[in-house]
Amino acid sequence: MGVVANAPLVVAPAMATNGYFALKTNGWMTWRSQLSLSLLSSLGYVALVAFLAKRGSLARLIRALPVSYLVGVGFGLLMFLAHLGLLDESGMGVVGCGGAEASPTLSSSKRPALILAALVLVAVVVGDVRRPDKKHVVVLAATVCGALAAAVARAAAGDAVFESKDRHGGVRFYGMRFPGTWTGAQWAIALWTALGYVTGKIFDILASVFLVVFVLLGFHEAPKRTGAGAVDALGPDKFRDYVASTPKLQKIILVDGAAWVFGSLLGCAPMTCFVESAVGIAAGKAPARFERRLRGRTNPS
Amino acid sequence: MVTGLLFLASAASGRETVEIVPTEVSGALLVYTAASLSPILRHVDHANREEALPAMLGVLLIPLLYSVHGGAGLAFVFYGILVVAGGTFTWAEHHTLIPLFVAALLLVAEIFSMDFAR
Repeated sequence: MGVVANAPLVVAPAMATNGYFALKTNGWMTWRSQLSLSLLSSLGYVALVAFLAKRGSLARLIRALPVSYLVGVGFGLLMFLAHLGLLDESGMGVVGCGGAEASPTLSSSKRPALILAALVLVAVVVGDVRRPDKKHVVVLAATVCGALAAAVARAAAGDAVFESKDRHGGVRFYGMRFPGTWTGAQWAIALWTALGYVTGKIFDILASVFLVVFVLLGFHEAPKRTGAGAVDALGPDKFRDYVASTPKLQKIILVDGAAWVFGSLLGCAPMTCFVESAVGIAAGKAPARFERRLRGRTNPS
Repeated sequence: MVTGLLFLASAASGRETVEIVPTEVSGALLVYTAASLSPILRHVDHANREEALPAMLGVLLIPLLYSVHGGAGLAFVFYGILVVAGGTFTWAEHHTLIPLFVAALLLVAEIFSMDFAR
């Protein structure tokens, strides 16, 4: 992304599509087949995006979208991140998981970690209020101090307080492998799933594109130095048109797609989400949130 | 590029390096990031209901569905229905969005067909 698109952007391609593995192809499709399906989907996606970009359709499409929609789904993505940041399994631990288990964990044994998380949040907010021109320094200082405090707590009380929650991952070249024993119905579901990957990825891009350029412009190219100022200076409609026409955007989208292809070939990060889901399922253990969702569907109580 | 190279080095050095910053710290920063970018919401045209309602649906559905594309796709289907049902569809303004609307319908159908497959 840095070399080709010159954009300060880190993405995990096709991140959300791990849900397909956990919820749809689980049980009859091996993880190798699922990753192979991901590779096919990624090739289809890159071909589609390159075709649209060459014809100028991508820019026309974004220009035709209402600004409100782009802003709404972009902020929805931010709310998703904030949600993950608040959850017990992936963030501060302020709230538990979904459904009936959505209970605050303030009384749990993780109280020191919660206090640390709250202190970090307060520190960055106070730093932002008092020195908005130095917010990057404040964030970096809070991160380093938080990591040091966690290291001290680990040394004093053991790993249990800041226990790692992600145990999956790995690097492996796996190669294409589709079983010859699939029935016609299974092939139909596989191709239907691949269509879901591609269309889903398009909406992932639409959700992130406005936000990405909003942030990029805000920090690097804006007429004013803040993200909101960049939109204000141009006006929302002109800002959207700028987003649609900037060559950097097409490079970002194509690099993102190429990373999906590359990750599918290696079966590793940035495809860790697929490996996590597929290997987890192979071991009989779906990722926690999907496991809960499945459980919720089969047992409403 | 510096971040990418550092990430590569941390990945090569093992999981422990990546876990130096606990999720409690990164989670707090995620919440701060979302809050600090909230001014973007003022660019939703609240007076235009057929655009504002799908936008708010996107804000809500993406985190609740645990799915960016699921929330964005459903919000776009909702937008298309509102435009057609509200009588504001014009070929000149909206014809470019028809393929995207079809893609959104396919995506939503694909999402809801998960129960079938299982």
